[in-house]
Amino acid sequence: MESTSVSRYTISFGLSLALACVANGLLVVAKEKMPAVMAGMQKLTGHHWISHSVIILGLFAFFGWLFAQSNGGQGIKITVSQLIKTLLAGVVSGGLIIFGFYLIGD
Amino acid sequence: MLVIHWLRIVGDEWRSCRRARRQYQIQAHGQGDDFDGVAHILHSVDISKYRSQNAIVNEVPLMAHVLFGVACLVTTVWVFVDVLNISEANQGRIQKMSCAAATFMWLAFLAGGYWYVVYYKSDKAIILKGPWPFAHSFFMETKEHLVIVLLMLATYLPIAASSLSGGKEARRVVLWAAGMVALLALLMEGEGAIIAMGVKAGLLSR
Repeated sequence: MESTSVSRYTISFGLSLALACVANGLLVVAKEKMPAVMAGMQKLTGHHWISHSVIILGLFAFFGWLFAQSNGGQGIKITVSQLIKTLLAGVVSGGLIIFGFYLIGD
Repeated sequence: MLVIHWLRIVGDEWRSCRRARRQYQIQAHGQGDDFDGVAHILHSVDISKYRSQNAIVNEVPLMAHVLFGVACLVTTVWVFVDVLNISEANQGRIQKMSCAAATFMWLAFLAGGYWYVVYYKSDKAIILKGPWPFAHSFFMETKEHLVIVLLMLATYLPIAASSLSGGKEARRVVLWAAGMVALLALLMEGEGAIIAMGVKAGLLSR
């Protein structure tokens, strides 16, 4: 296994970013398909898009911090190649969920 | 003198904007997000007058959104090229430019978000009544959610750039992040152009 040459925050926020991208796509589907979710998000801040942004950015910040604290404060240990693959997979799949949903699902 | 003259013009625009908005809000009260309701309002209120009265003040956040978006794109491409040619001399500059890219993206997001929440409803009704309804139903819907991904990637860029002293592997992370920011920013610019064309086509068809 190659040694990691990047900081724990680079890894933890990279993984968190991938996770938040997929969550972003899934939240789009949830709020568009379930009126109760949309109404709840509308109620939360006054506009569904503001609530959506706050939830996803909050997830990104929270999981980035959480992943950095794991492993006794050393952060998650993965290789740079694994980090890049995860990051790319998260961004592409999050994007495809959104494009796919508005193209054929909505 | 020029500044005073400009401030007077902006002041006049601001006052007429507030008058028109008050009129619009009185008629829009209780209509919510109902598309037919908004479309009805657009027919009862002289929308072209409303738009021209608001021309400067309404469009400032939108112009700031585009300006900062382009600034983010340019600084990200700068970071990408600098990382390809990395040396001891340009590491500090890469970190500063990646911070600038993230700052520009946050400013673009806040300006665009403000415009979307406050002003977009009337544009949405124009688009949906016009010949290019997909400018809202596909392009705006995808843009408003993909921009969050772009914002997170741009925020991640300075975090990744802080590891650049880690060598070749660390450089790969920054290159991938910068590449994705640049591509997504270009996509957002293109989608924004189609949305603007949707409004234009809707107004021309009235």
